[in-house]
Amino acid sequence: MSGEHVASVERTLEEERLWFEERVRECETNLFRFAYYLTGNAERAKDLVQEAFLRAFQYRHSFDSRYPFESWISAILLNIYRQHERRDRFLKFFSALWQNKDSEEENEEDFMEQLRCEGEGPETIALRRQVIRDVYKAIGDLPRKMKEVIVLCDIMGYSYEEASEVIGCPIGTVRSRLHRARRYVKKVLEAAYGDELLRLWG
Amino acid sequence: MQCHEVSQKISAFVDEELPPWEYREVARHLEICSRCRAEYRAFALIKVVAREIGKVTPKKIPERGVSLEHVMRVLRFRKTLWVIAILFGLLVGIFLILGWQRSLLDEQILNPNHLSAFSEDVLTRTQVRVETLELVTGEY
Repeated sequence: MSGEHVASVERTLEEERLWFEERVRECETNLFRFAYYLTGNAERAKDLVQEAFLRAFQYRHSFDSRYPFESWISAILLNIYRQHERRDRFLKFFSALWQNKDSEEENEEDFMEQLRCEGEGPETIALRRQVIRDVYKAIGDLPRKMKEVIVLCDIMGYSYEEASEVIGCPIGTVRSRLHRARRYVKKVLEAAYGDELLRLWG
Repeated sequence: MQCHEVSQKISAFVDEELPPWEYREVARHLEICSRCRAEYRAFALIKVVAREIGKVTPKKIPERGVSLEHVMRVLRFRKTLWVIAILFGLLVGIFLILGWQRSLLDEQILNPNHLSAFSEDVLTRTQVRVETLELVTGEY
């Protein structure tokens, strides 16, 4: 891929565009998932992904081909997300007053509809769905820094090293943030299910 | 290794992101400590559940209703337009203030009571104008 990119820089704009489109197609779904789990909203995720692609194309020459394209564009997306979060802090406060909880619940319902749970009997399946919903909600309620790490490492399946590249912090920081995030989720689950959770999950 | 040390490393242990010697130490501790083992299981469960969540690829739907956030987000894309509108607003505001001040000045100039405040010797129109201006600006 590295040689390909270096060559592409010397090519015409049209060729560069094709190269970029190909890379985008490869990671579009993963990037959308990443944005969705950060925002918890498909519409916002779509906006974020589009903006990330635009910005990535704008700064395509700064892409270092030693690193994976997906990590690079994920880092761009994360930066845009952080900027939006900072700008929307004030807005969110009023938005919370303006809207009721319906739209959040609808988002959750949309997500749960697509979830396929396996298990023995309808009770187990229902319980698993409930646990997944609670974990999903707990992750959504996490502070931004912890959420970023748990989404990358646990949901997206990135390694600590990959996550540290995307977030732009040392591996040790990733490790401690992930630990705190999991501890928070654990507390939420313990409050809801007590010590029975593991037995119930099977 | 003590419980409090293991507790700090459990998360990395679940992800197998510990150096081999530390990994072995934690594993050995978990064999003998039921409390840490319970914590390890809870962390492992969270990871499993999170992976389940990660298997879902959300629908690329939306457009549902209107939210303040959405409206503002759409507007943000027209940032330039906003800047122009604000500048235009400021310009209109400045003109309005200047016009208002000018009208006040005219009122003062054309006010006969005001004119009588000056001596008859200097009561030519141009002089009155100048002196009224000075009066208004506080220089008289």
